[in-house]
Amino acid sequence: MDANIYKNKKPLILFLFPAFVFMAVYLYYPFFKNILDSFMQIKQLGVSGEEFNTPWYTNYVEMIHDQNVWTSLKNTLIMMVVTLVGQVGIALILALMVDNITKGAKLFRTLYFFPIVVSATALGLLFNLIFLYDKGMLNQFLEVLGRKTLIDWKGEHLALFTMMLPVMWQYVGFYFVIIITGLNNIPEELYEAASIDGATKLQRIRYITLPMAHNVLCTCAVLAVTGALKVFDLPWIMFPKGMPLKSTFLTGTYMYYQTMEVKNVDYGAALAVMIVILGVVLSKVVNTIFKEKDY
Amino acid sequence: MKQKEMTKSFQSRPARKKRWKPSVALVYLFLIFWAMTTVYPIIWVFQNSFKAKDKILSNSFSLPVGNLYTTANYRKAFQNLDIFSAYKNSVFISCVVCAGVVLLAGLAALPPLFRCIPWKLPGELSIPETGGCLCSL
Amino acid sequence: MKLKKITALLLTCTMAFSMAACGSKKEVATETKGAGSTTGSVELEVVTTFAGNDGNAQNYKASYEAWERETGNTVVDMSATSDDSFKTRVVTDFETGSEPDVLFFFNGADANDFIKAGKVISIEDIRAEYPEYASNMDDGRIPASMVDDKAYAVPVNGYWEAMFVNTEVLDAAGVEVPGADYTWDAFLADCEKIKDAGYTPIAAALGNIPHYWWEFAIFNHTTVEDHLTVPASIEDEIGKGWVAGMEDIKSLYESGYFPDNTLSATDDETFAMFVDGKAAFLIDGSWKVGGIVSACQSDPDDAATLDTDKLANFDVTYVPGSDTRKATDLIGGLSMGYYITKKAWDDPAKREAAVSFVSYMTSDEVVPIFAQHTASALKNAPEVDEEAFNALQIKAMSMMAGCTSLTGAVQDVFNGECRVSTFDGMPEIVTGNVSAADAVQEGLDVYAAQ
Repeated sequence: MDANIYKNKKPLILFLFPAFVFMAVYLYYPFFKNILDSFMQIKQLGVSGEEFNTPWYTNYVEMIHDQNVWTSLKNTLIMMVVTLVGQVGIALILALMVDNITKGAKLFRTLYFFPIVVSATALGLLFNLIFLYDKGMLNQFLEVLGRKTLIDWKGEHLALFTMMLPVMWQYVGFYFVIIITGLNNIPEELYEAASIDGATKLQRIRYITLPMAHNVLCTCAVLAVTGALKVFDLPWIMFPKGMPLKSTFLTGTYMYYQTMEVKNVDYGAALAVMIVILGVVLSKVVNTIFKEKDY
Repeated sequence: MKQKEMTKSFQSRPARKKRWKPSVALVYLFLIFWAMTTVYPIIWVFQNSFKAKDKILSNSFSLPVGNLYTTANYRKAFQNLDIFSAYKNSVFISCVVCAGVVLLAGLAALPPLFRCIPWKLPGELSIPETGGCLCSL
Repeated sequence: MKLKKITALLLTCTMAFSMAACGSKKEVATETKGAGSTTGSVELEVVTTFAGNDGNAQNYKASYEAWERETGNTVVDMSATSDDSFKTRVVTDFETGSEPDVLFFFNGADANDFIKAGKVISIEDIRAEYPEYASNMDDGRIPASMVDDKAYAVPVNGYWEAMFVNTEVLDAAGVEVPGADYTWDAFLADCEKIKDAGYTPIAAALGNIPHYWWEFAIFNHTTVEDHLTVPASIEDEIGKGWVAGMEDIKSLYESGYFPDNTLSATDDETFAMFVDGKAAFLIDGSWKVGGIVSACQSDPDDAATLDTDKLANFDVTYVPGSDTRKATDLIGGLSMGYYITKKAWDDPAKREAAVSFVSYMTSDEVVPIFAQHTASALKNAPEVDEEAFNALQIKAMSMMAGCTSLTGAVQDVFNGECRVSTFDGMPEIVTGNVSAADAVQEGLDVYAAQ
């Protein structure tokens, strides 16, 4: 094998080079520049930092004292739990069901994938109309059912619920497709052997399907957790600027708010660094919890 | 072969009895329910696109028939807002991104496969082997 | 082995080639603005706010297409609806060197950055080469920049902010349409009556667009002369007025005169409430006349579908005054205008085309189409033909006839980051989470640090 490596080295580098250059320019350079920016004083977008902040760590200190950062972290953690239980959980249940039926599997696959194909902006508008206070779909339903006062779905008490529901709904199809592909890879013989041995459906699921799909579930968990850190489009369309009362900020939307709306660009850069660190730490944690097992 | 034939015949007998088991019906019910929640919003958007703006708020669920029907929204989108050029831009971006990703990622994915199992072509590797090679990067 | 090498080389070449092609394609996408004098006709990049749902979007499109036919040049139009992200985009474009040739933009503090950087040409300098430039405008009415007191932007249409009322709701609550002598106390009494009748007195989305209430609440504690002065701190006269203004909005909120969901609703939602006869008062700008008229048409673009009965329910009047401000003192002015950028000026072909374009768009024939019932800086404003206007526009014009003064908006001076604590923080102020004094002081500190 050693001799082969030496022989193949040149084309190896040739193959890797284009992708590496692309990533270096569009990923590594902005990433490190961003870390540098979080220590500098930047007046506006498009202007590069000229001098360092005084003291240089001031943005990070501000982050610790900023109430909105803690709110956003709390909301993001709730979102992660919701996506793990909601998106991956429901997707798992759906995949198990679809795996066990004979007809219509392809149809369901297509139908469940719809929400991902629709742009998040369009979905945001759609859900805005559904949750609208005055004549939204839900409130109209309630009026028809006889309720007198309207529910303010975007008010303080229900805002988080209203925000997480569409986000959860949208990506179920995505995880569904991943899991069902993983389930299809489980060899039929195992199921047949188990049913010959007298296992019921539930037992088959518990002892064969779930363990075999372990790796796929691990991937889904990592994707869900890091996705929750970055999710932006749907929450921003429905709850811009963290309204009401800045209680619905997520890490992604708060970073956008600070950079684009408040135009505190270096603070936004510091927030971005925080999100990256959180992402790396959390995905390592998830990876150790769902350790890769070889069956 | 004989084993397969035996399992097949074994399974075919209970299949006739199993057809209308309530659990299967329940499963289908749940799946159809979820499919409706994914499809209905799109149908809703489509039917509302034929209504005037204020009518959307007052009659969201009714079908756009009679005096609710109007093509003004589509006209506005294509003439005033020039959505056609937006479509063109999106198609262009999608094609470029697709081509770019396939080329870049495809090229980058090949060497480690050549490297770790140089006597096998990429197509011959199974998923765990590919995964192992990629992870060992 | 050789085959592998060849395949590898071929693939890499294809890669590099397609990347270069992709790269240049992206460049082409950004350069279709810009180059073009090769064919003899000039391509002018123009950015305005006449786009999307703006009332003048169609007028603008028709006007520049007419100019294109007349001169044989082409306009690359990159207009977008005016909001905070539009302002950011324009300023960033100037920073990165991708600014347009002609720009229709605000002439207040939002333009300070690129005027200071010398990226636009002043009207004086343009007149050195083209003496007839903007000669049909009254120089005294062209606003000068805050940076160096020179005029840069040629205005087209002005704006005013006043109070729209839904007379149907007022009648149902037994309240008279307010007149020129409307006081704040009379306003509070009317709101109480409207609330008792089961309607929402004020249509406003404090969590989304508190701009107009912010402006008038402060105006009620300042005078026409010192309204545009930003106080140094909350301790001085004007500063105390600002805090009192915020407190006024808070007391309105606590009395329940705003909609139930004012903190989580969007401006469109509360506007829909107003149009549907659920709310009585709406403070907004002159552009909302077009918005109300569209809402009364079953086809928003076709004036023939106007429901005149529904439109008759709306009127526009003065904003309740105080001891320092008459009800007829309104906010308004000529806040936007056409700039010619240095980028276009330095290119002789583009310079010619840009001057021709701006002169056309600000000519005596075109300005009235845009300005309609609002003010302009024309020396010879044409006679108002009442036949061409709808009922609400006529009511607006008669209201403006009784207006005693038009002051600029102090929020155009106190812009950007300064406004965050009091605009984005308005929900916190009205619910009492943050005291009005603290919020105002925070904003003033940001302003002072600039």
